[in-house]
Amino acid sequence: MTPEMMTNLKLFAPEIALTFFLCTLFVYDAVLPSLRKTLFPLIVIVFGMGLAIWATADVATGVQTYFSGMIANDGFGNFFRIFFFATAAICAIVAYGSKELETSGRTEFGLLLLCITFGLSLMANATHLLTLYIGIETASILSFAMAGFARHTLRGNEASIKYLIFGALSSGLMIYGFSLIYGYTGSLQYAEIGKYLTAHADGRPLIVLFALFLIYGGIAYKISAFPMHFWTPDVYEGTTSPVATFFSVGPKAAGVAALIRFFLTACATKTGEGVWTSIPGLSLPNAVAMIAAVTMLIGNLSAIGQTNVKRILAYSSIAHVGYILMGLVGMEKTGLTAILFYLVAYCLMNIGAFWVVGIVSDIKKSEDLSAFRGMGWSSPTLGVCMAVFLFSLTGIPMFSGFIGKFLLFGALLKAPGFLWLAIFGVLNSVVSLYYYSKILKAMYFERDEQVVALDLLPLHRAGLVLLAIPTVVLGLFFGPVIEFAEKAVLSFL
Amino acid sequence: MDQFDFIVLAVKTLVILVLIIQVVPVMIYLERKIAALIQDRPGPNRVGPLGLLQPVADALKLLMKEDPVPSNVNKFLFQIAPFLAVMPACLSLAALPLGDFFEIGDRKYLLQIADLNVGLLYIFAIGSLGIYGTLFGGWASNNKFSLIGAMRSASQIVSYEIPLALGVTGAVMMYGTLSLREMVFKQSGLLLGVLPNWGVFYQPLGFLVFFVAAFAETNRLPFDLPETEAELVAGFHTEYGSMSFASFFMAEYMAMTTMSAVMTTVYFGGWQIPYLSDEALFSMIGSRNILALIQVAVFFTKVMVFMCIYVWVRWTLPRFRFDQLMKLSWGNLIPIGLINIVLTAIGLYFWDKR
Amino acid sequence: MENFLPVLLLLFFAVCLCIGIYTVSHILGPKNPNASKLSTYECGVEPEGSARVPFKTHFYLVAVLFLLFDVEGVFFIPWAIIYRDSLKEGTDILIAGGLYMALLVLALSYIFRKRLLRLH
Repeated sequence: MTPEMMTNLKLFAPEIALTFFLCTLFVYDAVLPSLRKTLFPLIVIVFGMGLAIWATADVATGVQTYFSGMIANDGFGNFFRIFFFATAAICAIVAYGSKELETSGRTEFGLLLLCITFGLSLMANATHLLTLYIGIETASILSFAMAGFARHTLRGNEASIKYLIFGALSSGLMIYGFSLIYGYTGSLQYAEIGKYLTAHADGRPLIVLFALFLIYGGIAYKISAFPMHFWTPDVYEGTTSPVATFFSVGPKAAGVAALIRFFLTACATKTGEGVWTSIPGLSLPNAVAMIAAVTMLIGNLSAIGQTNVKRILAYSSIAHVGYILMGLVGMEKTGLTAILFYLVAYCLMNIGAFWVVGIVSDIKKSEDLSAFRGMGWSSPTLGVCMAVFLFSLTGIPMFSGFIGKFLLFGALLKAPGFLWLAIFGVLNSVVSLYYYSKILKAMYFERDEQVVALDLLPLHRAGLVLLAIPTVVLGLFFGPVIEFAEKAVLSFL
Repeated sequence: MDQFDFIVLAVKTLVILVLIIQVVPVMIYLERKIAALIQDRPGPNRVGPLGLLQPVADALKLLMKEDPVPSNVNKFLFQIAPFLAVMPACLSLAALPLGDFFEIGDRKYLLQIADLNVGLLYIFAIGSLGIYGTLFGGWASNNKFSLIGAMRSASQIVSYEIPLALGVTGAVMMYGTLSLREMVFKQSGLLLGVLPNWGVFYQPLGFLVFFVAAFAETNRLPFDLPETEAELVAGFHTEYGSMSFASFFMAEYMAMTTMSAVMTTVYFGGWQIPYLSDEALFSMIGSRNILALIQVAVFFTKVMVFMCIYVWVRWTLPRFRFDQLMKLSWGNLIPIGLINIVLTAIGLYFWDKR
Repeated sequence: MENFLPVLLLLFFAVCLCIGIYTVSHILGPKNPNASKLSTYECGVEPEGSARVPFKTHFYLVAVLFLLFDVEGVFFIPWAIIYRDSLKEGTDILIAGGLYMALLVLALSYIFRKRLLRLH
């Protein structure tokens, strides 16, 4: 065991812990089928996640990249690792409480969840295009399986196939982009690509832009940004709610991290403590601004006419990606810090919103707006929590969503010449208020003809309250999280 | 490499290809004669003395028959399918060592089409391409039975590729090389003074796994469900006539030859005569070229022994059912292959430590 | 390159062989198509239904599992080649191989316990 190998293994410890728990679940699923229906998978997942988070906090510093330059070891990566593990744990709890997932299939759901988390972690920490590809493919292929988890329904199969075909297409395009970049720069490592592109800034053939666009396309598919967002509404609507919960948070964050890492390392140079400038000829801010604007517009406008709440939330998640990308325009630490904070806030409020939709669809067997009628009065916990989540998603002051948007707009205004984008973002938030209030209107201002008994498990009540509280608290005491995010960004490679 | 070398290379390639193709007519005859022997009947004895010209008659008949192409087949795939079956069977012969080397003047040429240092992997890789012919034939025939036969055959071949690779990994561990030529050299000498230093004595489990997998790879009984005569008429080659059928036939026999050749090379010492080392033989004979001929003869003898074992097993054992086949591969052969690798690993650890 | 030139020659000869067989059989064989020769064979009766039957997902599962285990086998081969030489430097390679095999045995046993390869 060379010392380098020992360092590699030590730094990879969170993922190794994750794999160990994955194997435990495998063995458990195969060996003790009679225990499938109990709490055991949930306990394993949550415990495993806790262990992984602990391992993340413990990794040795001093080495910048390990596994011979394939994976990065910095605060940025650790932030995202903790994010993914926490998200996976929360989604496991959401899944446990859901009636849509067949009781006997929960262990397989847990297996898929853990493995997708592994892939997401690789994506966010990759400094080599192949590691990025492995991460994206691990996450994608298992997501295809997870999307079709309700395999006896037509909608589930449809969602899975749509996701598969779109994913296969974007994977192919992305790896074509990889090969073109490799042919031009001679390397697949982010840092070396960046060095080559900077050194040969003039006389760059158009094909490099094309390749970068293809790579962006591959990552944009994961985060459902324009132009690869078309799968999002259909897949979110077709899958079971817990799955949509995880999809709307996990892969998005991983894709954003991968996007930031790749484009800031390979297409920009670090010119100061937390400041980047793009390579001459590749105007990153303009491109990102355009994409953010279009994504926001598409998400918000398309959500207006929807009646299925899951579709509304799917389009809203597209719009939120637009807001997130706004933070990348300035290419400096305030923007990135804002992105990281927004991701944390978004995780809490989005998981909460989807969980509520899941609960309602379990009880009322429908995800339409009409299913939400009178929910606010028949189940106060559900109503209040949903109101908190929706207000936060809109960006109403004193919720964490507002702070996130505020930080993003603030960072945007620091970069000269993007006032139009900030105004655009505010207008879009106003538009989003419309469709979020539609849900609230149905919940509070409409009465339901038949009163259905609402049996919220204590798990649901506790979980929703536990998610709603930070959503409010982060809107007031956002200091610690911002400091943590800033530290993470400053330690970015 | 100058012109002379190139010409010798081309001639050598052609000669080896033709030699191994010649095994096919020999097998046509031997198959029927040995079947007759086992079934206690005379066998072909009309055409020529002892029926020895039977293969000639068969070849002429197949050449001169009509090759009907049914009307609703997928024309292009239908016509290239037999050749897709023959091509990998021919290509995988490149790495087989027929002998050591022969001399012309003062230049040495290997008795092998190409001394690839990934010879074994090359043979498996090219051999895997053989499935295409089967699948295209079954699909293009537009015939339910052909399709079922082709799917079964494909899934059978694919399931037995893994034990094939795993069985041989033990030998690769022992010899530390994939080059078939090197493996033959490492099997010279005597083991414990009595037995020849052949691979089969070191790797009996690996040989067993490889042997069974080789039967399944070539769709030979007891694994020939895809082309059973009673159930599916002729499986995926139902719709094929004369030479197309002969192509599939030839591809199957050549695959059998390749598998037998790999078995002799990896486990039975290749072209080496047991108990007689090369030097001893050379000093007895004096001419490299005659030695080369003897080596080729020994090689073909060993290969023919295996081919006769193939025929013997075919006419002795009953057929496996499809799910029994799958269970054998995934449930028995792969675990035994893995156990073999573990045992070899531990054995080599202790052997090399002493 | 020198090593693979003979393979190219072999490919050329094999292609010549195939073309030769095809040409000879076309020249020598008669061509008298009639209705029964041109129809699909189904043991003498009229063919019924479409030939493109939807085939069982079992075959797809076998193919996917083959993909996984074949890649496993392929990764075993470089390990096997350097195994004996690396043993001189300690037991690292034995442990690495053991871990690798343990993962695969886990996967194989999962397949058996969940009965993924049953035909029915």
